This record gives sequence, structure tokens and C-alpha cells, in this order.
Amino acid sequence: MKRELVFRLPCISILASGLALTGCTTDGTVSPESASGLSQSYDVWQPGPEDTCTPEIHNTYSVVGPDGLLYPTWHPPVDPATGCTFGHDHGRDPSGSDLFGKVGPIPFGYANQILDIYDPTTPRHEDHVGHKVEWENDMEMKFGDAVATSLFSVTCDFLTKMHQGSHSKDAFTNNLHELSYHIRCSDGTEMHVTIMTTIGTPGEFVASCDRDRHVTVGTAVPASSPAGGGKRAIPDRSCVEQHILVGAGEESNFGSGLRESWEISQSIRTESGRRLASFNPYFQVLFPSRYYDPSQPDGVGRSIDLCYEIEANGDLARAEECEESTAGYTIPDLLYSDSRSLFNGVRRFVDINSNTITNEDGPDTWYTDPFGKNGRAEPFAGSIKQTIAVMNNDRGIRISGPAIGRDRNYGGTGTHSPN
Amino acid sequence: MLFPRTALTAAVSLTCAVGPLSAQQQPGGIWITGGIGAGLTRVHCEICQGDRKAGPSVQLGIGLRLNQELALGGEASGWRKNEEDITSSAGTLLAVIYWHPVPDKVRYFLKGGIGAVAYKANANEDEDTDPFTFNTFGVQLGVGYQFRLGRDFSLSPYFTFMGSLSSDLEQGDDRVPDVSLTWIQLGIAIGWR
Repeated sequence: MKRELVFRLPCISILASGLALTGCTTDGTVSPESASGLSQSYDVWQPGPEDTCTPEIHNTYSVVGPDGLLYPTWHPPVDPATGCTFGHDHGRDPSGSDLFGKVGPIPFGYANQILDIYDPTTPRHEDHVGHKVEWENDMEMKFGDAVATSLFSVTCDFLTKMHQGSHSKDAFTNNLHELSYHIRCSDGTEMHVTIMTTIGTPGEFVASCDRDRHVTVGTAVPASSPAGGGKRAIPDRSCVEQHILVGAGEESNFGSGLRESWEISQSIRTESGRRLASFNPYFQVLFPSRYYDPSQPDGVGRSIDLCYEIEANGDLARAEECEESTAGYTIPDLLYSDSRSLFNGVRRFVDINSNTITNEDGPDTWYTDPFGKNGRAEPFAGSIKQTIAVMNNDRGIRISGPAIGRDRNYGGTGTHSPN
Repeated sequence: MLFPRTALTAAVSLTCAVGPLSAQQQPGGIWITGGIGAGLTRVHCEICQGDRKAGPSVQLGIGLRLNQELALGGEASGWRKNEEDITSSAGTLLAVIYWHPVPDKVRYFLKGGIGAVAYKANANEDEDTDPFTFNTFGVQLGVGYQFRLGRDFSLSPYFTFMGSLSSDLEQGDDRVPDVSLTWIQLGIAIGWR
């Protein structure tokens, strides 16, 4: 059976990058055969013991990036052609987004790849399973109060891909994560941005149950990672002990004790430092498979292990998720990577929040470094093309986006941590 | 402060006691008019919902006749809409001129006005939320027909359209720029002299 591949990067994008069009198909897409090479993020996934798909099947979900290299892209947790399982999810199928026609399949790892060019001494290669897509069409934006809501209306299409691994120690120290961010609104607001976003301070995170408590863990990769706005709020052992391991008559509070919120505060700036755009989405993960436990060799505590833990004072996890994962505690010592564990990072949502554009002087195409800074009108070595509407979208009133994806579960058969 | 609140209250209380200009009266006389009807308002801006909101509308006017064809005066109008715990209100305070093109035969009249326009939207039960307010100038055009009711009174169905200049819609320190208001009134007025 011939598989239908998902390489749909418009030929015009390749044309803009100066590549030959010999690989374009009749429907205007680019075939993988036309790629000039493989990206660092291609062919890195290897199946685990539970995964039934082969790397070859996985690699068919690929797209040629703006640089002509071949990248992995979105695929479902279960391959529809063969029924095999990949064991991980990439979120919502982007082909349903109204922005998909403009954005196309998102190349996973493109900004990481460009960072290698921009500064070869500071590579930041992220794992495959952490790439998560989310989108919503025709979102009604929010205006702060009921009166404003009765007066104003702005709708937006939104598509994003964030690298948000919630299974390893990576985010305890690393604040650089690839972000593909696309928004188009009825008031003319529009931007298409791909960057390595800097979330908070490298080498540390803030405790999710106490945002004022900074937890210093170690050295980030790369060590020269610039500090950014926002924060990575990640649960640590004290959060778990406070909210998950509870006494008789109480219920574990996973919203407070075991939820991650990666809160971005990102701007796109010119070479002179002038702000062109800014946005501050919060990427949240419910029931992640990890928390920070300094008593562990690698600092990674496993959420599923909490289901079996009883503290000296008798406190323990009292939650449906534990009951369900362990089949009423009939399954002893369930591994964090077992697909039966509900602590697998498939429950996520994004708070869109604010999107500000101050690009009234144009142009609409900028080339920035991988961090979204040093924007110029012409491309340069290690630059990424960003599209920002020529406008100032300050309406004199606060406009923010809603939370999307909260009611969705992106898991599928065989999905498990690492995810 | 929204000036039409006072005018609105006065207009409501006097609506049934006054009437529109009578072209039959002599120059130099005073005329008084009061009307009630339906109003459709629409707030315009780049991010405004743009839907027309319907609500009761009133007007109150007083002035002097210049001659058989023309009369000058001042008019206050008010409009109000309560929907989902949000009250929207609008008001005008206009200098108006009435023109009866054929005063002795056909009793229709045309009307023009210019003056101050105000708009307000507030939450009914949320004192912590500042209202949105809007103050600017506007122009009104209208048409009506006069039915005589005896020597001193008349009854006049009327239609007016008011458009405002653009201004800021303010909420506390926030200002939404380039906001304007249109307001259609369809009503009936009682006039005296």
C-alpha cells in the first residue's frame, strides 16, 4: 500500500528560499525527494518496547523546510495506514487549521537547525516527542469585562507548535524551546513567527505551587542560553507533598500540585531593539509524567510512583488517575513509560493571552536571529524569516485570547511517557 | 458625566405633554414638542461588534418660529437599552431647524440638527467595572408629517438619523480611538402651537 505523505510546504516558499522547483508536485507541494539534505531533527525517534511503528514509517511524516532540508512533522499517535503506534503525540492535527493553507506542515526543529548556523558553538537540539501542535479557528478574543465584551468583537485563527517535553529533566534547566507561532485576526492582526523562545531564567525553574520560589538545578544547554521573560512553572517535590500526598478525607489536587505552565513573554525586535511584536502564551500540561525531585540521581521524580507512595505520616495520593492507571492498584510498580499510566503528558492547553504588533512602518517580512531579535529587512546567515502585519494593533483596550485545548486529550493507543 | 441623563429624565416626564412645530402658528411664537418611539443605535469602530441595538427613544424640544416655513429650537433626545446586565444609553443635545416646504398645503417637514452627542455603556451590577463613555458632536437629519389636532396641538410621526463625529471611547484610562455613533429614531411627537 502506498502511503500518502504529508509534505505540503508550498512551492512558493521554496522559491523564496532560492531553491529549485524540480521537486514540486502537481498540487503545489514539495516532495521529500527534493530536499537538499536531512535536518538534525530528522530520523532521531526510535521506538520503545511498546511502540509498534518503525523509524521508517515515522520518517514518512516529513516536510521540506524553508532551508531545503527534510524535517519531521506532525503525525497522529497511531499510523492510520498500518495501525502501528508511535507511543507519542504531537497534539492537534494542524491540517484542520484555517492557517494551514498559509503555514503548511510545520517542520519540527527548524529553529534549532538555524541556531546551529547562527552560533555553531551553542547547539540546542530538542527531542522529537516534545513537539506539540495546538490550534483553534475563529476564536472570540476577550476584552477584560462584560461591558467591553458587549461592545467589541475580534476573532482570530491561531496555530502554534511548541516544544514542550514534560517527561525528562530537560526543562528543569533549559529555557530555550522551539516555538512556531501563527495568528490571524479579524482586526488585521497577523504574525507568523518561528523562534527559539527563551522562557525564564536558564538553569532554574519556578515551583508551580509557589511562583516566588526559584529552584536552581544546574547549567542550561547551551550554557550561554540567554535569559528570557516569563517563567517555566514546574512542580517539585514540595508541591507534590503539599497537594498530591494528602491525608485521609482529602483529595489530591493535581491542578496545584502536578501541573506545568510554561509562560512565555516574547518579543520580536529589530537590530536597533525596536519592538515589532510581542506575545505571551502560556503552555500548560496536566498530569505530566515528571516532577523535580532533588533526591533522584537525575532530579526526575515520576508522577506514577506517587500512586504507590505512602509518607511516614500516612499521606498518600488520593486520586482517580491513580486508581485508573493501576486498575485499582492491581498493577504493582507501573513504570512511568507504561502506556497504562495516565501521567503521560497528553492533556495540554494553551492560554493565548495578548498579541501586540507595533510594526506600523513595515515591512511585513523580517529576518531575525533564532531568538527573534536583531531583525533586519534582508536575510543573513542564521536568520529566520518572520512575517508581521504592517500595523499597530493597539486598540486602546486590552484584548486577549482564550485558553484552547483544555477539553482535548491528544493521547491514542499506546501513547506513553516519554511524550 | 453623561449630560443626556438629565435630558432623558425630563423628556420622559414631559413626553405626553408637548408637541412638534405647528406651521399654522404665527412667527415669533414658542413651540414645544415631545416624542416617543423606537431607537436603533450602532457604535462604529474597527473592533466594534457593529450590531444595531434597539431600545425606547424619546425627544423633547422647545423653540421659536421664524416664519411660516422655518422654526429654530433646541432638542434633547435619549435612548436606552438594557441587555444581559449591560445598560447602554445615548443622548443628544442639538440646535435644530425645522423647515415646512409647503406650509399651507402639505404638512410634511424636514429637520436638521447639530450639537453634542454622548454614549455610555455600563454593567448594571458591577461597580468595579468602569463604564465606557463617549462624548462628541453630531448631525441629525429628519423628516415628519404633521396632523393637526385642533387649534394648538398637532401629532407628528417622524424619522431621524443622527451620525456623530469620531472620538475616543473611554473606560478609565483606556481609550479606544476612532469611535462613532449612528442613531435612527422612529417615533411620534405631540406638538403645541
